[in-house]
Amino acid sequence: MNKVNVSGLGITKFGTHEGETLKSLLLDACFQALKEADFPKIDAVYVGNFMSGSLGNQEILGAIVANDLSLGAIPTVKVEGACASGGIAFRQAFLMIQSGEYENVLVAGVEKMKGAPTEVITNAINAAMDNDSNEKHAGLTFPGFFGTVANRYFYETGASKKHLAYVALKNREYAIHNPIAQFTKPATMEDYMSARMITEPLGLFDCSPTSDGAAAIVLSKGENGVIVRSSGQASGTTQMQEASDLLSLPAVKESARRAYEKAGLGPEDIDVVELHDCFSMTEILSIEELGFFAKGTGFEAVEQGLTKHGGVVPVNTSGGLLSKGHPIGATGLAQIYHIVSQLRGTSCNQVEGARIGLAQNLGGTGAYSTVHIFEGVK
Amino acid sequence: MANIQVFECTGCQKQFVQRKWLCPVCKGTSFKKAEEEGAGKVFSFTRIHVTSKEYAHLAPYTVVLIDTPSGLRITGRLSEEVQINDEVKCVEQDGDAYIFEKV
Repeated sequence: MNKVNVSGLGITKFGTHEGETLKSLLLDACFQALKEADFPKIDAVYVGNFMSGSLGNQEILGAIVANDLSLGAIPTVKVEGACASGGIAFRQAFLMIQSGEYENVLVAGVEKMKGAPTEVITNAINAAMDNDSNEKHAGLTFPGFFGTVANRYFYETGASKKHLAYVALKNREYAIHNPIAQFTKPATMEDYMSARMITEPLGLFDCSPTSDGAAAIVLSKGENGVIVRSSGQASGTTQMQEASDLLSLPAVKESARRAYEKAGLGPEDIDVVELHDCFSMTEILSIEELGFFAKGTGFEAVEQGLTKHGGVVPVNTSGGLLSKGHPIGATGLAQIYHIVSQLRGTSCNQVEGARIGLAQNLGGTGAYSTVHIFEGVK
Repeated sequence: MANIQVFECTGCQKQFVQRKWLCPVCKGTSFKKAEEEGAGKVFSFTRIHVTSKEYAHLAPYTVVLIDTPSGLRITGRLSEEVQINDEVKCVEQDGDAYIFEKV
């Protein structure tokens, strides 16, 4: 099987882009990535996106990229996997080079969410749940799933809201140093505790924001710079009432197991992690599911600072979805952008000597997860 | 009290709140409709303050995950606040949603 390396990276600022369209964000990120890769002959395009149809009445994103960047009559695909759209798109590109079908593939992710009213956005995001169910009709929202998880986690472990705060405040501290992050103003525990409630016990700082943004990566056959060591993907429950263990994310655990196994590595080998903190609670569960901390102890790890520089493993040194921002289709690729930067030694919040990095991207209420492991080979 | 409609595998008698095509327990493919008593204990909950347009007039409201004595776990809605382990009963079916009240 072919080795696959990252040959180009591109990203826009995350946040509000007034006057920019979904297309211009997408093409800006793609152009940057192609330029860094020195414009190789691209064999295919994969675009991760979730809401361009429902919010922007725009599809055919793959063909638009090929056409507007003069890539020729190559195959293109848009990939939808809710918030894991980017990670799944990346996996398709990786597998196609690994198998020998293509040599250079452009992968991009984009979302334009700002400008629509919150209730419209909430409704569009709810498409990531099984809407043909009594659960949806009960009025469960997407954040509400993780609020329900948090209340049970508190009950079983003795954790409390301050533990969620440690996650949110850590990620904000990291975002302050990330030039593309949406939120770069310092926040205090008082700011956190006094923020308005969204879905108890989750308040404003516990929920990732709506964002505009795009990220793009060129993958190539080869063994230079940063290589993709492995790719794992899994599916999980699509309804809260069907979860056999509400305090687990089986898709995260299984996608990690597959990626660790293929790479011949374990959690102890990972130097830096970007994981899917769509909510502060999700980060606590995911550090457990990825094997960094035992089940039911993630809240103690964040309290002890074990997910920061100098701890067990620094997590979300980009600021995470919570503070870097969460343009849904772009998120999985932005995580990989950050991990590759860490392994190149050019990142904000650089982890000194980082050699192996992991990126985990979640979709829906645990419906999809991808895990990719990278190695800097210089 | 209102009942909960369930789908029961004719092979292993396992019950599901949602319709199934293939039983995850015994791989059976035949199911019959049944009704279960709509009562149980709160396993977890969240009180929702921000929601989509179609539920905005109800906010704030509580979404509960209920464990019934027969071993079902069901998502429903309450208007009041609850705590884990509170006893609740289903009082009506509003469209496809089960509405509960504290006992």
